[in-house]
Amino acid sequence: MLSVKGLHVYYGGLHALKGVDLEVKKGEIVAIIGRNGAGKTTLLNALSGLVKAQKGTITFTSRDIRGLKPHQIVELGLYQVPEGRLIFAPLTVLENLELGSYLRNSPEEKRRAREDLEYVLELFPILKERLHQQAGTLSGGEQQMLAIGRALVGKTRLLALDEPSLGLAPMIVKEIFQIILRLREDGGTILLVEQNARAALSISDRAYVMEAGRVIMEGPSRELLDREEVQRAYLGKKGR
Amino acid sequence: MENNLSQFFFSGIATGAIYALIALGFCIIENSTKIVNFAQGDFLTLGGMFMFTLLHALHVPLILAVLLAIGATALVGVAMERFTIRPARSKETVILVFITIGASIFIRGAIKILWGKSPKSLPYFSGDNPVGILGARILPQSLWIVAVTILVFLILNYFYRNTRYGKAMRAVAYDRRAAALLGINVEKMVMLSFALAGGMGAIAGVLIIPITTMTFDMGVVLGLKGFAAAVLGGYGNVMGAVVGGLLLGVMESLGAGLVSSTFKDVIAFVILLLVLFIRPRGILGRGEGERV
Repeated sequence: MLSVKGLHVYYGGLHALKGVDLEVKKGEIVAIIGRNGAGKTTLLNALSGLVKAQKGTITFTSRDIRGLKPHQIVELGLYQVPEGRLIFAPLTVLENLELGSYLRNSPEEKRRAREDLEYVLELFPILKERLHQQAGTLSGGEQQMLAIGRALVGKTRLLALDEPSLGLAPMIVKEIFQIILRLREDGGTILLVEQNARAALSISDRAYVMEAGRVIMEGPSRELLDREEVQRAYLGKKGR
Repeated sequence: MENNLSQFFFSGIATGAIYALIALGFCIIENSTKIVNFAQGDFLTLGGMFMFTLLHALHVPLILAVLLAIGATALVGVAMERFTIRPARSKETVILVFITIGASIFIRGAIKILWGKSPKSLPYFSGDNPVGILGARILPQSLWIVAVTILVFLILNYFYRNTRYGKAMRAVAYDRRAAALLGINVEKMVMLSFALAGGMGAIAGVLIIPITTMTFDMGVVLGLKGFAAAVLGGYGNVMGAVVGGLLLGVMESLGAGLVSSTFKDVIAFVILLLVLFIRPRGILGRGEGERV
């Protein structure tokens, strides 16, 4: 579904991505882990067209999307839930969700968007209770749920989540990760960027480890969880 | 005396409605870009000038002339966005605001070259027989102004709350990045808002040219008064723009009538300063929360 080859991003004077390769197949949860500043968010933003990638290819649903505008990439079905969620605080929860299906405009599409809205409200019952509340009044966890829900009512084929656990209580993180698993069961494809390596590796099928703008390790998440260097560097375990 | 009061009040409402229309123009740009567009007053002049040419030189029927003047000014708004705001390398608010000041000077210069310095005037839409309301004698043109302002307010309010583009514009204003990530074409929305603001300015210009003769630099003072009205009502708030406009018009008219007309223009700016000192978010402003 998504295939990235030799991607380079220069940011001002900084060489932020140094030839990244990445593959996401339909129905997978793929995690990207790594420390702050490893280039994870830059990678997602390059995929979404928010930052310019100077070299390499990004193929999404067999189209080269490098150089497209953000809204054109979304139109193809790549929805990103950005770090810090970026919900529209002055708008109501419902208005936020409606903006999620902004691109679904034909009567047929609108009908399907309504079905997806039902689905989202079933996933996140708390949002149903808060539909007419201003989104800014929600708690952090609820805002994250809203941000995910907002991306799910679109023409979503691939959902890219940037640090969904950021700043949330462990209980809420668990709940959100359960939902991510549920999304995959229901046929979704997810690209998950996380600093919380343990949680990300335990729910994903495959993972990439990034450091200083490069992918330094990749493989099935279960294998990575067992690798000593991963445990030492990202899971906080001392070497045996 | 009582008759005078009601006369001052109603003429204040008519002027205030014009301020409200200008304030709405400021509001539209604020609601998609968070910048203050100082060319808003010049959109008004431009609309009036287009109207003058269409009606006077080309003899286009009134309604068609109004629509064409609005459309032409909307196009100027689009051109302004496309050629000054969009190419700007910096998206810093201050820099963009300065660009609008530059655009304002440019538009005024163009008007001076194209239409000259002599004042332009047009007949009233529907005669000059004043109508009596509560002891005041009101020009039919003033009734037009008030009616159109109310209509525009209702449409705009509906647009922002209930339409797809209206909501998308609010989303763009709040967070461009988040809006783009939902598939909203940010540049298109900003361009559309400049078209709307241009059209809004033209509506005011078309309505006002029969009452006050139009000169090329008229937009400066009217633009600032519209800005004052928008600040007074709560900057960026559609309802606030109308309330602020009417209030400013009435205060100005009462002040000029009861105190001295020398102070007419001063009143608006004293009010602007007082609002900025005492309640910067305006009457209906809600701080960083809901704007529309």
